[in-house]
Amino acid sequence: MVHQIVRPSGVERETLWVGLAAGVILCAAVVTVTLRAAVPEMVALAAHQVDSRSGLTPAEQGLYADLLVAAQDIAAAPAVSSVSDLAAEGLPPFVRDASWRARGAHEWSGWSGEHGEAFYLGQPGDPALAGTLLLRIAGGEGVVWLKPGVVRPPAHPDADALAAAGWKQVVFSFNAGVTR
Amino acid sequence: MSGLDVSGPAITFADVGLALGGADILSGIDLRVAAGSVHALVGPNGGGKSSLIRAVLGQMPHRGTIRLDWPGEVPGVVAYVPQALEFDRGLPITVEDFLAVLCQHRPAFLGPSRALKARYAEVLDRVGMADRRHRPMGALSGGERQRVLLAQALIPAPDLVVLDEPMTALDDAGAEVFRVLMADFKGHGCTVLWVEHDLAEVRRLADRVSGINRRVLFDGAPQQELSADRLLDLFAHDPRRMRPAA
Repeated sequence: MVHQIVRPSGVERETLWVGLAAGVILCAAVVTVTLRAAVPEMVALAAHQVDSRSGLTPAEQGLYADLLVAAQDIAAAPAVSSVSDLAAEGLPPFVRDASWRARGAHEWSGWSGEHGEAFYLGQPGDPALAGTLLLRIAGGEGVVWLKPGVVRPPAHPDADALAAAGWKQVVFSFNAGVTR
Repeated sequence: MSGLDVSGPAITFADVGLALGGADILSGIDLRVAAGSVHALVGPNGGGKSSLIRAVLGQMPHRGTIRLDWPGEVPGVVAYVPQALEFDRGLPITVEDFLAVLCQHRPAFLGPSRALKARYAEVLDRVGMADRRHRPMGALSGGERQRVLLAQALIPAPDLVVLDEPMTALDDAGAEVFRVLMADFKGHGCTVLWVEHDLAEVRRLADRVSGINRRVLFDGAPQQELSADRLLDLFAHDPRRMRPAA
């Protein structure tokens, strides 16, 4: 003969099992996260480079974004566009609007280089808001250089000369810190 | 029945109580169900009969002690036939699929188990549903569904059968099937715990009857206990005149 006592159903055992299940899931998550943790890849910047997300003032960030867009338009044009033409088209940052003023009221000038590249130099009216920016377009690609204050670039503003003169190339990098 | 061929357990309820949501459903239930007997529970709706048998199945947070004394070395098979089947009529499963869901380990979507297919046919034949094994469950009448519920209780062969108003939807032919099954249960020495409203059937088939209305109001042989006065008191709103069970 075997005696069997009917155990009441109730929350005690269910709570215990739910708690155990939650604990197991939590432990598994901790172990997984610990074992699979990877150091995010950080792209080290060269000494002559500055990160567009962390190294620029808000005004410089706005100008930089506008210059990248403008570079595509300028590169697509059959001839090198003058600053006045670009301003007439309403293309920022060359057009003199409220944003232009808020971002330091840069005086823009443009010229062609010896190897077919185009240069656009923006010198700030208010250096406290943004530094001097130089857009260099070569091979359909625009590269932006920055130096604080109201300055002039070297006579032959190639990358080495700019770096040697203390200019910083503005770059952007996508890494684990980019959340959007 | 000789004591030797009893396969069902004796059931002892000792001071069993049940409260759900702060309301007392049952209190002070002291009962003994003899091994191999058919023990009927009668009483008004809401009296706690179904709750009591669900407590036997371990599905209620009861107080007190419910003890099953099995005759063998290991606990036997408990079969349960619920009061009604909550069922979506649109569910595309056949009678055989339904038995497969309840009775076999093999997933039902893989079809009936080879080992049990013949048993399905046999138990459906016993409840008079052999020709409906491939019918959709949703197409069955209430009585036919009740027969299927009885059929599933036969696989595997039970030692304790817990029935919750199994005759509610049965027609005359179904009632006859049920009587034959009850005779089989008794013949095999099963213990049957049976909630029923049909007092004539209880008097005919049960060995013992208990009146339950939140507590035990009477307990004894059906011939003596199911008297007109007893039943008037059992189904009265105020059963205070009842003597408590001895």
